[in-house]
Amino acid sequence: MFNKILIANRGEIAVRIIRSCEEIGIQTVAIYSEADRLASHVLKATEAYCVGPAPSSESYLNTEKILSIIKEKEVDAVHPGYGFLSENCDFSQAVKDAGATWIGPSTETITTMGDKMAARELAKSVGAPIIPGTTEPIQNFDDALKQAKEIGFPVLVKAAGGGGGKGMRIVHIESEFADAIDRAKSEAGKAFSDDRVYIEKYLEEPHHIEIQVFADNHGNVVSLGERECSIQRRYQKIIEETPSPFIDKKLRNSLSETAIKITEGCDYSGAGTVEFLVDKHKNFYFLEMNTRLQVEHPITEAVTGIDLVREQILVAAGNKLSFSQNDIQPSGHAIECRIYAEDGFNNFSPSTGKISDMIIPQGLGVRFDDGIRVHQEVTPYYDPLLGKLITWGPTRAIAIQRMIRSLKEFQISGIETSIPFCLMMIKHDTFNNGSYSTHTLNEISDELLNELKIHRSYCILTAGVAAALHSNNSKNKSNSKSKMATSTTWKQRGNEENLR
Amino acid sequence: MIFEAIIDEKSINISIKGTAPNFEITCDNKSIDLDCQPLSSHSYSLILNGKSHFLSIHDHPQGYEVTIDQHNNIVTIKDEQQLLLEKFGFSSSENTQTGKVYAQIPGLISQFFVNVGDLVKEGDKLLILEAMKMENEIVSPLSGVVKNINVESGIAVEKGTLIMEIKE
Repeated sequence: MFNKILIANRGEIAVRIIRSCEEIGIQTVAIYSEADRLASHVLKATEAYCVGPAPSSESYLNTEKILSIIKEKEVDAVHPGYGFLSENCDFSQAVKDAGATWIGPSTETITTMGDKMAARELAKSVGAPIIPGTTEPIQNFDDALKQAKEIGFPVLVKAAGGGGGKGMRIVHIESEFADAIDRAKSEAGKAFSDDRVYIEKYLEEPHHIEIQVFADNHGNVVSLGERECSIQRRYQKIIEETPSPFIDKKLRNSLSETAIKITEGCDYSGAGTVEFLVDKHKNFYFLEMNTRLQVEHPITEAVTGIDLVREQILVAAGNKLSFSQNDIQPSGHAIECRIYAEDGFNNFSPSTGKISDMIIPQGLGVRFDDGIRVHQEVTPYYDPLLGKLITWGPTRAIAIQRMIRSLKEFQISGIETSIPFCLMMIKHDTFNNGSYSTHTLNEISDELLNELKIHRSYCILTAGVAAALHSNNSKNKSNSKSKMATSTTWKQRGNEENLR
Repeated sequence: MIFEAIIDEKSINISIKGTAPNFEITCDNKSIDLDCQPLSSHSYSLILNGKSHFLSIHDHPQGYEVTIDQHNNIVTIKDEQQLLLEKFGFSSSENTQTGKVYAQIPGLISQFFVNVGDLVKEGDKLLILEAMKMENEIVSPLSGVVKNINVESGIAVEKGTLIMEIKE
């Protein structure tokens, strides 16, 4: 087993990894930027070394510095967490060259699955469905129309050069096709100086569903079930749950089988996630594979009882998986809300400042994976994820009730967070019924905004009265102080007069 | 005391009478039943018309940030003195950047707390200006040295009189 693991990350995930290391009895090495000297992961680790100034490019991505710490401090394994260097094949190779173990799949696997086209080809080769579409940009209209008919309407016309919805058109019927291509080309040309467009099958009410897989170096591959991640803003997940209220046993098994085939196909090792899009007719398509631990892994832990980080470490150390496919009998339901430092009702704009106060929810079935503490400065340099709130219940209804209760209990002062937004979303009918897709949040955002305003107006009077009383109290305090000061002056004056 | 609380551009007039914890409070002339107990220097338990609230309060550039039911409310509080100053057409924050201390209301200078050459810190009491039977403490807008005092104690000043200058 390893003696010392370096965690090449910060925030809640670094803290999460340190916790599992501590439980196994492994020493931990934290790295930190100058802005993070007092961050939670530094306070919790056995050793901590500064790797550079605040910007990530000069610190958490400073591979040269990190590698020198690995060598100098006799680190024998590196856990990359998610983000930063976690899917950087050059760094994973350099870690191995430095004589340490990379807690994750091989450099070759990271390289293959990190290349969208190569990953698509690999998925195809093991029989995984991929979203039908053209692989080359459209050259002429007649060919394009022929291909669109083959794919079947509705189709999506998509810019080769970019994203964010620019140069994108949904075409429902053949007669709209020519016009849509013209407009998409013109838009893409203006936005990305590249007017090449592709056609792809348009998925109706798509769900983002992913399968957690685990593989060891002895040929064992296991699926730990799915996570439903369709509540997204700006293509980023904010609320996840397992099991998905949308899929049935048959689809679940098909997704798991496909994910296992892909995992075997790329000679995987450790924890990985295979992402799929599932349309309203329950057709599913391979999207990509994340060759690392996923942000939302705790909901899988909640229903399987398996510590995924511990298992990653054991597998990297050469152990066989501690469970087989038959051992995976998920129990109950788990939901995660991501607590971001951002104003959910002001276009999710990031919020920075000092956390002046914090009350973390507790109680049965509640877990908070935190990377923050009271008085910590939330800086603009890094991802705004402050922590993740996870609730478990024997049924979906109870997990939801616990999440609502926990979000209500949660208070963070000093910065704006996604807590009020998550509360409104969890309470919304679409979530309650489990009838949401990746489009839902956009469709209901105005409605949520209004509900929040109403909700907020309830506490205006209380807030006003409290502030007035507090102001009154502070005034009385300072008055009593100044009275004391005056009397002291009087005394002094008196003493001086006596001396004359 | 009379306060005006401003939240989200909404204004509430609050009157507080009595002493803690049994205040008599009216909001916009409606009486409310309130029990307020401090839990720490910045948190309170408030039972307002029978409803229990836990809240925390912190200083904010615009006044206070009151966290209640997951919402962070920014509340600006104007007290009696500030409301009075505004009535006379002055903003109490007007002199904050320059070191010039003006009489914001016509009144009588009853007491000076400083002399020329004294070191003062921002917020230190400089003098008392009596007006409308109220003693208004005038505090230093910045930290520095008292450069000059242009008026004497005991005299009446007109609105806008330059009383003293503080040099950084």
